[in-house]
Amino acid sequence: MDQKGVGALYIRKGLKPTPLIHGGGQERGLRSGTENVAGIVGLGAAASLAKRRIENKDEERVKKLRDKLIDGILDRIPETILTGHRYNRLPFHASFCFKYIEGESLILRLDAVGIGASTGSACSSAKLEPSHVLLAMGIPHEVAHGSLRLTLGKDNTEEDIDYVIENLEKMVSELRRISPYGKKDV
Amino acid sequence: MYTEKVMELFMNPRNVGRIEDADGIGKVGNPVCGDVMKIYIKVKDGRIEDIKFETFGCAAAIATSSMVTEMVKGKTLEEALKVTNKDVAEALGGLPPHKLHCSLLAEEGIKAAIEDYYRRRGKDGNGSLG
Repeated sequence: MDQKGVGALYIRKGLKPTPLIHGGGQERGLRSGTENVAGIVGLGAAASLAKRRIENKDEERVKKLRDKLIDGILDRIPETILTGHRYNRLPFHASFCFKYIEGESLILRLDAVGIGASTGSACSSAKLEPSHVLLAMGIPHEVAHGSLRLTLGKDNTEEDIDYVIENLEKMVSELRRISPYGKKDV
Repeated sequence: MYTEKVMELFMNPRNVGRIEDADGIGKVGNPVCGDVMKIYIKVKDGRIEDIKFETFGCAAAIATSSMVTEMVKGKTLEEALKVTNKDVAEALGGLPPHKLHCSLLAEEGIKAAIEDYYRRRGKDGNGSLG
């Protein structure tokens, strides 16, 4: 849930928070000004959606798919770095760096077979620097250019994961064939 | 964002690979910036008889490498040296503004390979290049 301009605040009994906005005394004097009705209704809808997902155990299911994806990629594609922690990470998020190739060419080839992904490579933007987050994590520039982020959703299936792994393995190896790196010099 | 021609050459690049007994090798770019192009040439009777490339980089870098190798293959060294980044970008139907440096890399790559060829041959000509 990340809806701009609206949120819920739980106040423990006995606390008296200082209002940020003074005025007409709306929202029990804590936030004066006309109520953001559309935002409030939206937050309610998002909360009931979130509750349903918790009850359906969506998170646990997606986490299993994420683990299958991470294991499959690390197992099948050599010279690959998983960025971030193996388990302590968002259930729907997997990110990697593939050595010797560049991320923009990878996401364009994935797009051609219907796989949407993103990269922190500089070539995908007008800047010349790759993701500052990856650099801060100690990943060298040239490796950070080969970053790929895959995110899952509640509707993904095991077949989707197999499809991604299969295509990714093929594309990384094709792009490595084109690359001058990771081979012996002539 | 890319023209059809760029996408076509990016998906199916021509002249990919290396020439083990190359007469000249040009390496340009910098992996830190995300683009490196390596061009291998085989020269016979002053003509580029064979040419291959290896590129680390984005779709535009791969497409320009493929395009420039096709443009200079069979040409004399003098003709090849006259191919400019503008020629390469035009042959691709244009490049997005922030990708124009890729076509410059292609021009520099060819020049570096020919320069290397002259250097190996011990001929002068270095001064007039690049």
